[in-house]
Amino acid sequence: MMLNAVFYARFHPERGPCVVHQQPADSIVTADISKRTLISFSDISAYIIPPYGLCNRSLSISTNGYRVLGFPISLEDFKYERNRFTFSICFVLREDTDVRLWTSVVAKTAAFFRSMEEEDGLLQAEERLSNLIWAGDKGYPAPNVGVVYSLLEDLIEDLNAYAETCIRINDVHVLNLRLTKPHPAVADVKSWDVPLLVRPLPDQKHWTWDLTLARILPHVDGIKHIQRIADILDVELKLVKRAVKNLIYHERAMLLDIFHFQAIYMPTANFARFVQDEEMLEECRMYVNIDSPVAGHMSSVPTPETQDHAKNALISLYTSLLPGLTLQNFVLANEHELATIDIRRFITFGVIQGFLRRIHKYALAFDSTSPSTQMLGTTESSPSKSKPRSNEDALRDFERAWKNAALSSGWSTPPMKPPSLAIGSAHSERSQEERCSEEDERLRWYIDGTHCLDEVCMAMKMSQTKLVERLRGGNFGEVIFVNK
Amino acid sequence: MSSPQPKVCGNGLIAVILITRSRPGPKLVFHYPAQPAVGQTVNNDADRSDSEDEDEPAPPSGWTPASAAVDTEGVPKGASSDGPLSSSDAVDRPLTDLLLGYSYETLEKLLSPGRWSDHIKFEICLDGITFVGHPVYASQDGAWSSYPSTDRRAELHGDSNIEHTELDDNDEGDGIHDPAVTITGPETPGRPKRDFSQVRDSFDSWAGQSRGTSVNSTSTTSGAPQEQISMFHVVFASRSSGDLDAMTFHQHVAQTLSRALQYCQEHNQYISIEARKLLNARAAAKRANLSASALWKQMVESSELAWALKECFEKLSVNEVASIRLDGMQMSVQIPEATPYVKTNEKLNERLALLLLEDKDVLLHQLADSDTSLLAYVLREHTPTKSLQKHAINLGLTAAEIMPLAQHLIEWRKARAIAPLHARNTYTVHPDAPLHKVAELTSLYSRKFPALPSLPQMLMVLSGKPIPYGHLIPSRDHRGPYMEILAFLHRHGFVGQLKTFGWLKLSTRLPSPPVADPNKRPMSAMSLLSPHLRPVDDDNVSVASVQTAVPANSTSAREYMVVLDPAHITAEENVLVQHLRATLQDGELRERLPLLLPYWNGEHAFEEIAACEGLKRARVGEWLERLEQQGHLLTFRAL
Repeated sequence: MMLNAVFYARFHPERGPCVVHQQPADSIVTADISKRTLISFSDISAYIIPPYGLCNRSLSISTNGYRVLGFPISLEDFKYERNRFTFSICFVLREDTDVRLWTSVVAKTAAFFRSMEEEDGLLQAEERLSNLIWAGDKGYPAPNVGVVYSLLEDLIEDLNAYAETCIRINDVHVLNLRLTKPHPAVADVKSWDVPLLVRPLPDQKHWTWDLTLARILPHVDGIKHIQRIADILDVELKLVKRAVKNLIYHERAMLLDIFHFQAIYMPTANFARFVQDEEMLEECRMYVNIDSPVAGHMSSVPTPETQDHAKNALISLYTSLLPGLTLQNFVLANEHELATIDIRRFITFGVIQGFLRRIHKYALAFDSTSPSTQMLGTTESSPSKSKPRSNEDALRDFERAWKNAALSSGWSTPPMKPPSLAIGSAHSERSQEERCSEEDERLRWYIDGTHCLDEVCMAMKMSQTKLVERLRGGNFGEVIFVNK
Repeated sequence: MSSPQPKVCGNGLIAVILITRSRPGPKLVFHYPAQPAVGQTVNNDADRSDSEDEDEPAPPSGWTPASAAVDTEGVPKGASSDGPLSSSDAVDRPLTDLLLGYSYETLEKLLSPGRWSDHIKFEICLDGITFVGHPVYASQDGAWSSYPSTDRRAELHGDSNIEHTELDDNDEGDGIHDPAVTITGPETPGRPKRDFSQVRDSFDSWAGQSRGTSVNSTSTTSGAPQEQISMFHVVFASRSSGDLDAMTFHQHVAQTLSRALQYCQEHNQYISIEARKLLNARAAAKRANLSASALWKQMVESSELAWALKECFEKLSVNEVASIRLDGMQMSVQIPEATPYVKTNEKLNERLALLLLEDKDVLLHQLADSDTSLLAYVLREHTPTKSLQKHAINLGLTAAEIMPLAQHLIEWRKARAIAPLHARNTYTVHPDAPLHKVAELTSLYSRKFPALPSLPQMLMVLSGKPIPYGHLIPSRDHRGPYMEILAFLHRHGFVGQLKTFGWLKLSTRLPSPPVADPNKRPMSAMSLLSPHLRPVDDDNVSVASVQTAVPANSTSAREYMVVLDPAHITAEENVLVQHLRATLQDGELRERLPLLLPYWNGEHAFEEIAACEGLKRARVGEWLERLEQQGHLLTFRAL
């Protein structure tokens, strides 16, 4: 985090690249031979002030255990000697410092210096001051001469002390800097993820909410999945995803899985932490407890013993979650213990705290007739890898793709079917069949082991039980289910 | 991500560049790929998620899935990794002196730092692209001779001193002190340093022989190079936003490669010759108006060095081991711990076993002197069901002998450290199991294990209720093949071991005579709370069922105390532990209880206790089972 030094260097028509100001003094160049500088400026000066083709972009170099972050600026103007003024403000950091924190700060500082010079000629003016002493010369720094030295001084002190600074040169030139920790990249939000708000959002006065966020927020409840929210509000899925992703980025929300009774959960190694953490246990007890109307007066004054009892019961309930055990069976087996427990909250708590893990179910289809157990799903999903398929298949694919493209594009298309009112019963039967086979076609795409059933259920708008039944129906060859 | 892409993804490496400096100035000799894919990769983070958003809901109903695969990943990948040889957009590009958006001239200046950079890490970051290298200079008098320069270097750079001396040791000592040296055959990716020492021998002996490499024609050695190079520099360019760590990359790739090249240069003017060849090829191509792809094809095929750099780029950019040949000698480089297979949390110790990531036969075949070497001996007898300790004992080796070999195999991604496979362990499908690979692995699997349950069937069984793996094995004779299946599943990341963790649970009722009232209260609370799920008038039923349910429940709920921190046991807990000990039937268990107690802290897998204490596994299993049956253990299972 620590900024070790900061300096202002420029290309001097006579002296070549040289340091004008540095902070602390003697950190980069020094007149005192007994002192050791952080880096050897003469070695790397070509990288501090590069050829102007490489200017006006960030350029850093590592040397001697330090990294010098620079942003050389080259200004072209007739007023300059050789028509050019090239300079750089460089930040010196230890090499193990996270650079991402600093790159934008360096760029902003460079832009600030550039405007100082471009608009008011402040940098050039400084050099014309008669009593200016250059860095590395004897007597540096000259007290109270020019603006750059004190600017660098404030900058390094403030950034090291407060990670932010506000430096005012005059009414026009004000430099505001802040070091912000880079957030880890947020993984993509899937349409079957369930967002849950984990911290309240700042007031609308302090945080500009985008329109989608304002609309979806009441529905970010840990129950509805993204697609559902989009459907309910009739908002484009992409916008909902983006808004939720934004919430996650700011650590205001997290993603859960869809809660249903065919789901499987198991403890993770973090479960030990839960058992040992009395506070978390108590929090959990409070969170999952249902005040039953019958026993309301009893539970309103819980004794420490009943509390302990409840906590122990919770622990043993969590430990009995196993791979292969669906929630349905879990609930049936523990009906009594779960009587005063909100099962959804019970699961959600574990997932949020990271000691419970959802196990997803995947379907894999096989052609059981062929001895090599060639997989259907994969043949479908990656024709490039598998054998070439028949013309008929290709034709059907093409037709399907075209149809899909046409329907989703919003072009006006000739009516595929007569309006539903006009269909006779025989007709509707056929279309039912048609729909079925079309559904099968779509399903086939999902059964290659890369789509969890939550996703398939969501896309097909089917319950998992129904889906499993359908997949086992025989239309798809042999289908196996793997939980992972 | 909607398309089943392999897990390996680019790490941000975009190009490898070779610069040399001679009297006229620095020269960009070669780079690979011809057109690095930098444009679309620099700021596509924001765009990409959007494009994926659109992909995701689309697949069903008549989507040709192939197009999905191409859309999401195909384009940037193809451009960056396929390179000029196959990438279609590079085919007809004319030759330009531009690379990564900069002119050759600019890059030549930028990437040929002064002598201050000799033999140290060179790292600059220009507008989002990081360049890492390890420049190597000839000695001040312009000569490339190894021995004086080594001394000079040792003096100059204190920090790399140790490694240099180590290298020298190997040169002189012939590597006898190091068992691995004798066994790195020509095909085995061995530690480059060691390979060096080995090749040095062959170097001396091969003066008259043919070189044995088809790529490098001997004609190139004729005549001394006209221009003496004073510096060479292999630079790797990567996106700064990628996950390559410049420090690691320098240490394990740039430095290693540069040292090898330095050796070649010192002994055979290797770089001078290769560079001249490449520069000539480029000049000729320019005269002949050749396209970039044609020139690159020609360069890569005619120059061993160009081929090596290509190989480095292609393998390293997907985090694989690059096996290359420089001046006829074999070496390997890799970015350590970048591999998708390595689980870094498993630190190697003697109680772990090795899981080979390639077939034993293949590995043995790769070893040149597979009959005599120690590594081959160890490999031949290897089994993932035995810990390294046991393995060493069986082979009559010491742990100190076997551990470096294991480390070597792990380092070069030929093996992974795992808890020894055992039929009593429980295995379950791993959360990261590559189900998209099932199809491609099924045929391999069925060839290896004919007449046994198929791969999908095994996965289905293992993803059900957890049972000890041994229960799947139909008979004693099947044991071997089934354990091999398990190793196969493990190797491909399909399964993980489900481990048991827990604490000692002590009954608080035993020391003092049972007091009825305080313990009854939670019971009554339960019985009052529970009926609300039932019809209210059905009181009899509910009371009856509650009464049957409660006794078991109440003993497990209130009247015990869990020893959460066995390392710091309280006085009260100690009393109870002693009481428990006194009631134990099994004399040995009674004796061992204090020994076992520290393992019951919720973090130590029960399955590993026996190995840690050197006890019989079956015996410990028996004790644990009995304790659990008697309600003295609170356990949970996790991966």
